[in-house]
Amino acid sequence: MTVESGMAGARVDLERGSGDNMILNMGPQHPSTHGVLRLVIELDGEEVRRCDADMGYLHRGVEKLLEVHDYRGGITLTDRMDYTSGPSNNMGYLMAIEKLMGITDEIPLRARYLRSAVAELSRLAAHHIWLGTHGLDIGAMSAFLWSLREREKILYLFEEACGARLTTSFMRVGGTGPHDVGDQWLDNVEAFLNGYTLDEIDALLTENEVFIERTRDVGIITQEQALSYGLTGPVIRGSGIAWDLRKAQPYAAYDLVDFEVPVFTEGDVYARYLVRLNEMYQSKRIIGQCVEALRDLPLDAPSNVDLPQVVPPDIGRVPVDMEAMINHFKLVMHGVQPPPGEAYFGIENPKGELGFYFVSDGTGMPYRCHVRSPSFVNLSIIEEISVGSLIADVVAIIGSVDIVLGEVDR
Amino acid sequence: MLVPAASPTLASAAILDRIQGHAGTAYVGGREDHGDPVAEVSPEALPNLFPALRDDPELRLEQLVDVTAVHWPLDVGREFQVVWQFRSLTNNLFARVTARLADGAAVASATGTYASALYLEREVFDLFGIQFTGHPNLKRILLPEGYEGHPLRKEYPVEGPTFPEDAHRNDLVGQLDPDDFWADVDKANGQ
Repeated sequence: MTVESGMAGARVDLERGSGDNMILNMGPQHPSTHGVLRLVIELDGEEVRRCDADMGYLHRGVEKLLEVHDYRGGITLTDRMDYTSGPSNNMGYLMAIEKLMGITDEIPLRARYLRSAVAELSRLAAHHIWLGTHGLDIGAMSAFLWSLREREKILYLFEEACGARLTTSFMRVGGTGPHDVGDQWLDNVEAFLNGYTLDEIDALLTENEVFIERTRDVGIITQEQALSYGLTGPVIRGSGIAWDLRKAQPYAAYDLVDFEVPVFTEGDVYARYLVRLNEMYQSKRIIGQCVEALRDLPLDAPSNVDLPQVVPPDIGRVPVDMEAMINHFKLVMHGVQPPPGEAYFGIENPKGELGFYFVSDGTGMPYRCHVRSPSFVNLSIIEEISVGSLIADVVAIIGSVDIVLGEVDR
Repeated sequence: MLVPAASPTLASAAILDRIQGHAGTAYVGGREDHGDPVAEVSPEALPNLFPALRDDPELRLEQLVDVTAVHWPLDVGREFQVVWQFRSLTNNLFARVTARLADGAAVASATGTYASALYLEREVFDLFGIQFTGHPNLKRILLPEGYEGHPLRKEYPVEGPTFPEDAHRNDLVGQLDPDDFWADVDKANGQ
């Protein structure tokens, strides 16, 4: 038989389903699929026999659009992919361009610390959404409310630093751009960290018998599967692989701060929960160190590279200085122009490895920009591990893989 | 528990040497690009190259991180550049393998070695129209089935045409009588 969906016209072929089994269409409008994911599940009683993921409902052609925007214009598209952690996506995009231009080593210390601090803040924000909705899926309502309360405080910090809560377009190629922060912001971050605690949510879920019952030994991902499916991020660290790009190939200021990579070996939903929960404590540690380091830097420390072909001049100089005006005009009209070549750069996003692959032809717009989205790759494991589990566990499995559909569909 | 090496165990030149050893005569060339080793091979080497890269104890490229393509329409006869990015978690290595294809030619699927290719190759097929032989379920993934064209090809326009039925609707908006509109809705609902 074939199941046809009206909206996208997608057809999922289920010829292989035997006559007695039931076909269940879950999503695309379903609260536990965390967006517009559609799962077509073949059920034998309550047991899943086959699971087909159907996606693309949010496809906006981001990669095609990046080809017709200059490098600066593309920043605004990146925070609309994983909209739970916009600033972190911006960092990945910018650092890939910096690698393409060969200026990675010249980024000033101030920008590096600020990037790490903001990336960890957005990791906290993203994990709070996951923590809340994962609990909600399994029936723990209070965790959701407490979780989003904490996230709201982080969004206020983003708003203060760059003017936006979600679509941040934070920083520019070559440093912080116009988004350098002052002592007031550092004070506010410190105040947030001092009042920040995960203990109530921790106490609510970690030892909760119902929660453990629903998550332990459910959706087990073995080490071999994790490698073969190309999984990254907390999902792979829940299967006993201590892989974290922040440690393995440090970028921004991660080689200058102390933190640990939490790893659990069980590979089930509960292990992935513990990985993310412990990661949040580590993020708090990293932010504290970055704020301290930013305070210790001299007040006149540069926050952008000193390269006129990358960073626009101080706007006050533009009307009075001919050189500055030409420089400003060139950058506004043509943007930054990386030399011809290709580069791939991946960062450790809250969901996993977010990679940008650029091909430049020497003009102000990328010839090709491919986004390696962690949610898209991590999602592929769902079709395998949900087979043999109960229908109610599929909800727990989707929550534990932590996908965001804006990034899956791009 | 798998604990990765703290720093890469091989230099780029050594990685390229090993890839050249596995690809043999199909090895077209290699270079270090922005610190990453990049090897170009001809497509016929690929079916044997994938398992060799994964199982080589010095490389152990266990993860196929990404598969994508680049369209060069002016380069007639080798229009497509397919790009595989590999990572070894054990040895903390990264490598990129590329192959050039003619428009319409097929390339070997990596699904037999790497399960991550199941989705990634479908995406490349969907957006570029490149066929992967040996893929168990090669169909569109992001775009709906029945969609015409492959958007990431360079000849595909960024702005599409206006759908004729939409244009018709826009013309009507100005002169629409609300009573008629709701009568139509009721009729459509069978009331």
